[in-house]
Amino acid sequence: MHGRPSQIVAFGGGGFSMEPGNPMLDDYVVGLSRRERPRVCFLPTASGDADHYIVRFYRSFCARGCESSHVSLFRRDEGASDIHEHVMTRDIVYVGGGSVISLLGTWRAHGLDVTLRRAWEAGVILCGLSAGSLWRRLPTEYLGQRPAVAAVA
Amino acid sequence: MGPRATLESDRRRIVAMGGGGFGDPPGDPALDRYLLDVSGVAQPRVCLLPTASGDPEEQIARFYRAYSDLPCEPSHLSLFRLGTRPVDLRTVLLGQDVVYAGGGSLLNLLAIWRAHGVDAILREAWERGIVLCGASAGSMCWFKTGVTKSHGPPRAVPGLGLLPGSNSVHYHEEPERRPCFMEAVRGETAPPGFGVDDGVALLFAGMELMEAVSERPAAGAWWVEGDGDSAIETPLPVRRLDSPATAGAPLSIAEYRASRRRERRSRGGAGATRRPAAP
Repeated sequence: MHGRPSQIVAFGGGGFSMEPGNPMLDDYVVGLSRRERPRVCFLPTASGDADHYIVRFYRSFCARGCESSHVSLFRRDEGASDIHEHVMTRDIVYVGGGSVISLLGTWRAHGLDVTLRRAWEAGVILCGLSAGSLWRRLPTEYLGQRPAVAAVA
Repeated sequence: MGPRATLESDRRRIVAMGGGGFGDPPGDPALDRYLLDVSGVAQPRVCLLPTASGDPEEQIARFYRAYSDLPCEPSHLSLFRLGTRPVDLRTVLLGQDVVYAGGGSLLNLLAIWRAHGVDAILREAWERGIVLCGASAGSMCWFKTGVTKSHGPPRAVPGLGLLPGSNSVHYHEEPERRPCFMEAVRGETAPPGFGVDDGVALLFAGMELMEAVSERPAAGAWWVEGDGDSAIETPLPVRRLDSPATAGAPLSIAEYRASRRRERRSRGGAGATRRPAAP
């Protein structure tokens, strides 16, 4: 649909939230989209949709000229009416760090785990750091421990 | 039917609030004080679980501001920050006198509790006599069914089911929930249950409703049940928190309902969908 291969970019750390002075990882992801003005959606679920995190995302990605949005699973009555359609029509889904157990529980409750897989298969680039990088089958011993680096698909 | 619960015979306690308490600034501490009284401990340990809102600092700060002025030991447990503050969840939660579930998304609350195994710990806490309480999503979570806006529009979804009925909160403050609740009860996708205004709390011993209390003048609570093609709302007696406590006998919904039915029949109004009086 997007004319791109299925891609995941898993950061061990870094990006706008951990290294605000070093844009290289975020620039790399934006470049993978091959678009002038990529549509980037931030998923701050793992932080509990922390406001300060969402603001930093917008500050960083609006400055890059991206069409930026976020999906809050804690305040769905205020956000996009169809989160699944919204995710499917992005170029990049950027997953914020935090608690991976809380992240996965919440995604599953909203059916977003299934949608993200479909989005990935359709060529939406999935990226993230810390909890947001643990996209793949997750060994249970990682749960609740320090952020671990997962393989790039 | 076995003998009915009383405050002495059943130590399991849930206090379910429609809204209010510390969560609703400027806030009236009457409901917060009531929770502490229910624990029966002079200086109770009170732990906030702000899970349903994603552990926001603002809610946590408001909790400490309110409870540090009250005779208790407040703390909180953030399930999103266990990576930086690892704790044994069971030890922390079973060491409390009161566990307070903050408001937010009911769907997320339940999903995250289950992912961390907190649902089973809270059931154990309840059975041990630790007071479980909360407002909004933190109220509905204890019931079999709640009316949530977690998906956007209101919808009836399952809760933890410690209490057998259903619950809809902010009953007059968020009026879009009420038709959803009435329809769910009428169509039996939700069991009969309680519509509760902000500022009102229901106290349960075991599964029995002991009383409804209020910190606000016109706030109320309603028992909602299906009756053929409609749902009927019956206002419950609500004790103002500035008036003396009752003797501790359960408020029998069945008896109360029967007497209201007799009243309605004598007036010829049975079967009608009753609107509660405007607060």
